[in-house]
Amino acid sequence: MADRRSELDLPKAKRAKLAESDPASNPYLAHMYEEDVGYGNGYGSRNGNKNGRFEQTGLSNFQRHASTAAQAHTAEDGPGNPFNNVPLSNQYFNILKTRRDLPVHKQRQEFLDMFQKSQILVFVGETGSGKTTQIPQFVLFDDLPHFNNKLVACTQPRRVAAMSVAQRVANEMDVKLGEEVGYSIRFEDVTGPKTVLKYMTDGMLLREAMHDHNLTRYSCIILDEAHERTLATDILMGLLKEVALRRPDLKIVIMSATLDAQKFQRYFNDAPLLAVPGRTHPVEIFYTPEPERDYVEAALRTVLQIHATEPEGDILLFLTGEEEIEDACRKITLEADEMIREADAGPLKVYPLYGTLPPHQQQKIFEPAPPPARKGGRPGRKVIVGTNIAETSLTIDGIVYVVDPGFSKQKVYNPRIRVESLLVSPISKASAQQRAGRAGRTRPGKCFRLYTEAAFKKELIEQTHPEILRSNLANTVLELKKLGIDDLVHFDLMDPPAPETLMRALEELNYLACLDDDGDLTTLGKLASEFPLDPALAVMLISSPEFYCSNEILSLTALLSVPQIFVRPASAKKRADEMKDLFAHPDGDHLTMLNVYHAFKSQAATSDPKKWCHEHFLSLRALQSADNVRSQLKRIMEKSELELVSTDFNDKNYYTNIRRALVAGFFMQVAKKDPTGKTYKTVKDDQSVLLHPSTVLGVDSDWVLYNEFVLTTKNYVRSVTSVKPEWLLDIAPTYYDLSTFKAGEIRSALQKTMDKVKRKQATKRTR
Amino acid sequence: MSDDDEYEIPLQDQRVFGSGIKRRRVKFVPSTSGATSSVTSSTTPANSISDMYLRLVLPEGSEDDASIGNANFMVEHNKGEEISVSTCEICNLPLSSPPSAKSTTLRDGVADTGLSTSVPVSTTNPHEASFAHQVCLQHSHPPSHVDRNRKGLAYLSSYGWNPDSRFGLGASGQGIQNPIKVKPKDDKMGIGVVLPPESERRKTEKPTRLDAGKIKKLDEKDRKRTERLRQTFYQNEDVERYLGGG
Ligand SMILES: Nc1ncnc2c1ncn2[C@@H]1O[C@H](COP(=O)(O)OP(=O)(O)O)[C@@H](O)[C@H]1O
Ligand SMILES: [Mg+2]
Ligand SMILES: [Zn+2]
Repeated sequence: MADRRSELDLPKAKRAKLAESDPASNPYLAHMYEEDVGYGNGYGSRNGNKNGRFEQTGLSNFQRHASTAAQAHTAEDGPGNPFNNVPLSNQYFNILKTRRDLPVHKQRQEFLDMFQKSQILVFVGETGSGKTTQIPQFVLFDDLPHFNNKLVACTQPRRVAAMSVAQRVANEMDVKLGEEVGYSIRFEDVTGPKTVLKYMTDGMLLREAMHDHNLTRYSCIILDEAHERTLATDILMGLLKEVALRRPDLKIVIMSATLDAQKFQRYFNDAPLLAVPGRTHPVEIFYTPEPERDYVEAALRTVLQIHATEPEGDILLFLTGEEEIEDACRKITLEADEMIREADAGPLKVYPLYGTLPPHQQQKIFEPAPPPARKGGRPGRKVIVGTNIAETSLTIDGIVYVVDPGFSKQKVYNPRIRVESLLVSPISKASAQQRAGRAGRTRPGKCFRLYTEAAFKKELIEQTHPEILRSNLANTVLELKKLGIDDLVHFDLMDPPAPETLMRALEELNYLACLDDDGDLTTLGKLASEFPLDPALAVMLISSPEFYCSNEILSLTALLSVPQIFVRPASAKKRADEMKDLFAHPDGDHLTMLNVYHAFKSQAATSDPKKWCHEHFLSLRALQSADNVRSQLKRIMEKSELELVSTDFNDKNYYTNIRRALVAGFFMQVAKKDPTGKTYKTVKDDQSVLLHPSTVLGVDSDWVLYNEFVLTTKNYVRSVTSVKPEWLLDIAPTYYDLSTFKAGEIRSALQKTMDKVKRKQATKRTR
Repeated sequence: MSDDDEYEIPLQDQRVFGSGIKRRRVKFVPSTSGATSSVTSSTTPANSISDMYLRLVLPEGSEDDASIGNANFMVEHNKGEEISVSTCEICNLPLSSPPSAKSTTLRDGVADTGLSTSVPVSTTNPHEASFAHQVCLQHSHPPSHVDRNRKGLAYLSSYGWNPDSRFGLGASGQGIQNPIKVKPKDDKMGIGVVLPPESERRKTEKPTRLDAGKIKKLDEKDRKRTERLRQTFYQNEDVERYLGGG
């Protein structure tokens, strides 16, 4: 086969067409091409109140950017809903009362004054003061986006927060989630034509910006939790700085929970800053006198100790990840049951909280603590075991005790070996302060730090490094190029990344043929940026029709984009492994996952998927979301006119084609077995790795392709598939140009393969 | 039961802990810097973080007018000094100090080494020889280790970034110059746990009796390790070529 790159870059008629396809058919741009009849939010394009078709609402006589807090107060009091005139419910008025007690409420007028006067505003307030839920509503009443066919966006770094907060605000505004208030996260859009307030992940807003550089559908953009400094928030800030100049009508609010708000102020050319006093109570801080040998065990014992000895009040324990959290929840529940039986302790309810938790389970953390088991018995207590999400993104009332082991899972990227991984690392002092603050929401609280005071002072860094300094930037560079930002050197980021990290990203994109040698976006690159996927995955998906297996690669891409589908409970590891073996494909994990998916879609499973998944130790949730992701990606493929094809299952090349298609995206993630036969070495980066214990690989393969590099004190590669060296040379000739390899085992093995291929071709020719 | 030796707490406390998790209590000590030091309290508005901001933002915040005035006063005071004393353009330090005895001896010392007396040293203001001034001078740094053939570098260079400039990226080159490094952790050890150094741990290992077979094996292991070390050091192609190998 010829060089795949040239094939993709010499556009077939079809590809050329899609590149220049009508922007009106682009889902991200649709709003720009709407005629006045089918407006974005159903309120009429201009002055809907004068349109005659619309009833008078509580907002009809409001003057845009000249309203007052008192006016808003009146409109909120009803009787009709200010946004749709529906009579307001009792629940609405109950919530309204508590909302008016929130610290931000007292400063509503002050907020409006500043909001009306300036284009960019920095707003600081402690967690729980009402930033996320109230400020966007303050904006709605003054900005009146629905009269101008616009929306207000409020970004959240986390999916969980976006969903949960949107639900809360829908309740507060007495509307149905998905109508006036909605949310949008990757692979899930819960908004409608009436939506005026959209909570969304920062990543989603960035994606929208790729198609609409000026974010024209929004009249106000609120960047919430800016102190978290996620990659997407940082890029958005750089972008909004530029958009603000091009769009004087756009209002921007930056909200942060921490002290370094001044840094934001300075960054936005001395934008005005409004601070709202917290409503927190003092928190007593305790340290352990000695370092703890096992922080998880110490954490569990501390939780139980609090339950046994401290007065009423809920507990928040910070741990690092799903597995650790689920395990801790189980153990605490078991222990607590025994305490209740043996020592008449109060009832204890334990709730996990992490990013991949389904929404209805996330909502549970807001349930009140259980009542005493019997009249006059000891009070019940609620324990929330969560990740960093509970640090600032979600406010949980009633927490009085915080247990802080001092760790969180943080992303790191090493551009020298091109490995991005999540590592458990000590948190920063700023994080520790935030965590402690969670204990003082309702009344004076206590924070138990499972480390010494000396360690706090000496070993914790001041601030967590922003994500942009810890990430692989391949995807970001692709997004920036699509945003039309070419000068990556001088792009005004708050914390620019290391040059080496950026160079790596540019080189990876070049090898993937998303950027040409001048660093310009190629047709493939433009197409890849349409997919909300890492570039390698996107390129694999786009190339898959050439390998006659786009249906299968589409399924695989979806499966690789969701959490682990295999469930392996500590109590039934053996049984789980046996079940996994039912699906095992000798050529590796990718094909095994594909087998699972096909079985999941078969009759046997679809009649009762829950039971089927349970029996086979599979995660129904993960498989269902893979299904959802698949259909979303399919839509983008169809729009891009990428064919959905399969090789006949009985063809001997069915699986070979899929493995070759994998190479088209992941040729930079290949390892070769060492001559010793025990470890593998990654190609070009020369890292010694082991196959992850979860690997299914029936054949003894010299070359493997992997999806993930797991960095621990031992290095593992996870989700591997056996590949052939001749495929590497054939499908990715630029990357596998032998002159770019260091002399060594890998180079000579590839050289041998190349010679063999040449000989074969020669004999073919002479025949 | 191995858990038995963990029983060290008063009887009345024992029952409240289940058997699965060890019954040893986690001890805590209060923070030395005051109970509420790190968290703000609404009852002490002057200390609250938010109030600090309010003071920045709200004109009414008059309590700290005095301190602002103070700061202004200090600035002005500094300015006053600047007028009377000329400062060095390079290090911004005052140039007032007269040649001290120490620097004279230094000059003598240089002369004693037999260098030509026309060397600028003799005419140099002693200030310029001072350490504080020297560190502010522009040095020529060794060039960056970055491979000049990298495509990524070509891109960044075309937008004006120079790997040898010791500047990072960003609007004013303020970005970090090297990627952040983190050590992987795959144990459950708490923050601040220090394991005894390798050598001490080895000391506590029981001495094992050796026989001929074991000695041979150890020997073999040693040899392999040496080999591996050699490999690591000399596997570099250029070095190998230089050494006449390959
Ligand atoms: N899902 C929810 N259920 C019940 N109450 C909530 C929910 N989300 C927020 N609240 C209430 O709203 C208050 C303000 O929360 P929020 O706006 O998230 O504050 P901030 O963004 O400043 O941290 C919280 O203190 C809590 O009382
Ligand atoms: Mg918030
Ligand atoms: Zn000087």
